Amino acid sequence: MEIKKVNLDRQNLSSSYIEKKQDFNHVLKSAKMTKIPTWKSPWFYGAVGLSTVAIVAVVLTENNFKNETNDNTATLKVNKKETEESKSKKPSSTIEKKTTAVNSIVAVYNPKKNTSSFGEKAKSNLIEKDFSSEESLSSFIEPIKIIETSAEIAIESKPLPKTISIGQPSIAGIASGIINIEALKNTSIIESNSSFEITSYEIQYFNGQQDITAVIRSNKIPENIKEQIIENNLNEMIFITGIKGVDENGKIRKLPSINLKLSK
Amino acid sequence: MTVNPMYHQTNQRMEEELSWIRRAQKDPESFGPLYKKYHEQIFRYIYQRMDDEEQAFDITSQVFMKALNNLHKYEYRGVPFSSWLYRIAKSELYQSFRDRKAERTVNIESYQLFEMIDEIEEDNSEMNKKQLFASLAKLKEKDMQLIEMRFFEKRSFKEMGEILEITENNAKVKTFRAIEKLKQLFNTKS
Repeated sequence: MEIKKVNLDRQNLSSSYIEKKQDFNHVLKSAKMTKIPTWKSPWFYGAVGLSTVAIVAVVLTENNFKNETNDNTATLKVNKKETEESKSKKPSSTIEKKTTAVNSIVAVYNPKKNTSSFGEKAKSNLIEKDFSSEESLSSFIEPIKIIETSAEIAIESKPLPKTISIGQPSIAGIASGIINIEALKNTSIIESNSSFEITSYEIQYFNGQQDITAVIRSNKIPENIKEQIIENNLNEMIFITGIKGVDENGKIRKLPSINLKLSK
Repeated sequence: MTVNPMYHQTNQRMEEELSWIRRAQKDPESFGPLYKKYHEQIFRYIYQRMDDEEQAFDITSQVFMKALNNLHKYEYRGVPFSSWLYRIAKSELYQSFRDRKAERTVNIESYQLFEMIDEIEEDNSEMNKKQLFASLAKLKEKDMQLIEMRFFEKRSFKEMGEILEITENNAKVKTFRAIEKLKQLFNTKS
């Protein structure tokens, strides 16, 4: 910077003159006018932006974690049953029964080997559900094969199933909404609108005494479950969730749920 | 050499000033006593370095406006509040020079010239006075600033350091070098 001018003996201003020029109110007013509002300041945007990103990240991570936990639990169940089945080396059927109560019951039923107390308990549950007849068990023979397939995938640590929008499963062509008794009676399988083969699903219904969540390892709807639904769930919602299917490449996929209301 | 009496304050005064600042940080209207106390000092600092009186008053108002708006950032570091105001004033002043709203001017009193002649160990003659006046006009701004503060405004090296944001020793060394340069310019001319 250059010095432009040098003054010698410029007239001095008196203190009283300078004092007269003081105007604190003007300074105060101007300061208020020029003050940047908090929401306009850069640090505000920085802080708010960071917080938003952090919240979104936490929510997304939380959701992913929940999904992964659910999928991992399902895979573990499949692995556990596979191990037990391979030990028995005999054809067996697997039924998981859960209630809406806090302590859910997971029963593994082997019709020819049920000496353990766990087996006894499972047997009693199955008698109650009338699963002991050869006819109803036959519908579970096929699912056992599918379990083996899914178990293999779990052992090989292949990627977990992903939710997809295609392959909407349905019962008698109905994926959501009202289904009448006749249509349900005449249908024995859950089918997909694409080339997916349904391998397992969870069905939630009322059996007359309590809410039941049955895990079915098949694309078939067991006759006794169908009967219980028809008997006790008129005008009630039936939820079929956790539907998994195998695509053309043999990969397990999570498919959209089916929500039906039973009507006459 | 006398020093700026307004700058050097007793502990009691400093504490009183700090209580004003604390109050003003909560309520801007309580800034009044600080404005009243320092308005003249800041105005003279600015007016010393420029020609236009009205502009000097405007810049002084801007300094206090900025001080009010940034008072929440002020931290007491054991030095008078004025050093913080001087730093704002310096920044505002140099901004106005950069924006070409004002021109850098040096204002000297005759008696100050004679004091300077003593400092550079020359004869106190009328001719030397003219010679020194011409030499000062040729001095670079950064050197002029130090000479201005030390010899025309009678500031201590400590105060100079606090305003210029350098150490007291550094202020001393830089001022000594500025005097040396002025001596060189004076001797070259003669």
